[in-house]
Amino acid sequence: MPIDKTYSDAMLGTFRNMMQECRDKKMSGKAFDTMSDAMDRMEAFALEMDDVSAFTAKLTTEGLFTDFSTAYGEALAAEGQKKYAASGTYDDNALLQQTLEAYENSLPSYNDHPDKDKLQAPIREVIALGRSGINYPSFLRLLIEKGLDKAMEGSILSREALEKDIQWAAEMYQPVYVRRNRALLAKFDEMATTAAFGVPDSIVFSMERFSIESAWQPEINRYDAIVWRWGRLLELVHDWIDAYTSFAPFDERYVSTRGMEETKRNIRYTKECYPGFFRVREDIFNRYFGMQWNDIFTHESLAAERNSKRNRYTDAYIAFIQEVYPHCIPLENPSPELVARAEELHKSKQVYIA
Amino acid sequence: MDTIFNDYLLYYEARMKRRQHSNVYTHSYQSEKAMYGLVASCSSLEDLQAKSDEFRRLSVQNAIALVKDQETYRKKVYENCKEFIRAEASAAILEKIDGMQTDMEIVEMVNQVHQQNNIDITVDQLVDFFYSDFIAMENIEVYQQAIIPEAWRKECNDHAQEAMDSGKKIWQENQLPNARNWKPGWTLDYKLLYEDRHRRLIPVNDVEMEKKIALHKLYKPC
Repeated sequence: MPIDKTYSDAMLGTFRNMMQECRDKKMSGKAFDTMSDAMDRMEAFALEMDDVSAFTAKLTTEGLFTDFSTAYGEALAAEGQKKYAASGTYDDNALLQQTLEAYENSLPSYNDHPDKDKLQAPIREVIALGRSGINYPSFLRLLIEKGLDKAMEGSILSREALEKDIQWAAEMYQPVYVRRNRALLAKFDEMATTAAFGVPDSIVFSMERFSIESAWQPEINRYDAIVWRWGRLLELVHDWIDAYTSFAPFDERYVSTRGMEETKRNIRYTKECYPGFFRVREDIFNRYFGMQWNDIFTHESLAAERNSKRNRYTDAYIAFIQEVYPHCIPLENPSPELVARAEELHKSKQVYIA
Repeated sequence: MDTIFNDYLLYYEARMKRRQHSNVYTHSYQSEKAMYGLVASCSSLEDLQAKSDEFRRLSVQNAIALVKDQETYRKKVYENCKEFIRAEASAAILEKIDGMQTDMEIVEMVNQVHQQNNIDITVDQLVDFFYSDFIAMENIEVYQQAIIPEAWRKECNDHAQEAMDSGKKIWQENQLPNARNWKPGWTLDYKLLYEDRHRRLIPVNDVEMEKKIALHKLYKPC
């Protein structure tokens, strides 16, 4: 059975279009033949294989994407040379016009982009510069001196994108991402200050970015791991104390579709096993991160998760969970007073924020 | 000197000056300087056209110098980050770049090196299976180690066993065959986890790592 058409179309569509473009231009030669061979093999694998991940691995490990793309570049270059050779002589103005036409033709490709105006602005500036009556070498020089060549690579957008990344992380209450993204912006600005013509080099910045992101990733992983684990600890205490309440038999955490006996069994399981589960997880939390139960409540992640509403416990309920904690001991039960408090908080809707 | 020729001279001067004070583009500065020198040694476009062979040679040298500068910088950053697999691509390109004769040869060589390196990176990152199994392994530990009434012991042991069986099934039926599409005969080399690029991403100490590795060998046996 062939690969699902949705996947093979998505993966091969661009290559088919490139192939068609070359056929339409009636291209031929060694590079075109290489493209055709690579395309035929990709199409054959799409028909012969049935597993998308195996298909992806096959195309990559056989080097078909790369072979095709390299040959496509060669075919276009050969085509360009043919065209140039046909005119016979060097024509400075023709080169300028050809370049400007290419930029003009590229404008509509940004029409659906959310940052259309910002992306098109430097290209329009380049076109205006080219149409200002200057010759080709002056045009090329001014592109460098005004930083327009870099602007067209999207440098202007890059700074804005970096600012947006900080804003996004702040709005999502992701403090480590905020710090990392600030470090990225600071590096961008530092490079802009010292760069020739005030525009950071995209290759150098991309590597600085890699370096900064690599340096921050361990802290991001640790933070995420801490959040996931304290979340589970709070839930276990919450589920355990509520299993003793009068509303437990009607609570979806315990209710079984197989009837009341199973529901009662679930409640008993929670009451009798969860303290044991909790203590193992608390031990893991301590061994992994060197953190104790009380450290959860001062760690920056708790405030961040609550502010973001990913964690929806109220202040009153967080305080209550802390009160229940010393009683959540394997093979022990909570006091009737604690259970009454759990019922009261549930009844007065003080468990979760509205 | 005619205007257009003078404008070309200014253009090549701008290209050279762009690289002049860069610590990264040192080879490019030298090759742009040589190109500028060639243009400056002429007094007209016709003069320059007479030196078209040298012009073409220097154009290729410019491309070689640019690739050299960029890959030298990439290699330095990757090595500083201890990303040795990624650094291998830069090292391979730097080793081959001086033998290139045309711009298309450069493109083809760079593409081929990156193609192989991307596969090497993918294979290297297959060890990520290990950390992504931490939560599942913790669930197993919880069922196995929790202090619970004896009445529930069998049920919890069963839960632990089901989790182990499910992990093993996914591993052998799905994850391992997929990994071997990238590298035939691939097995998880736990020693790789101690290489900095992988180790730094796992936020637990070595004692915990060892415990998890021991459990993982049972959970996902090769």
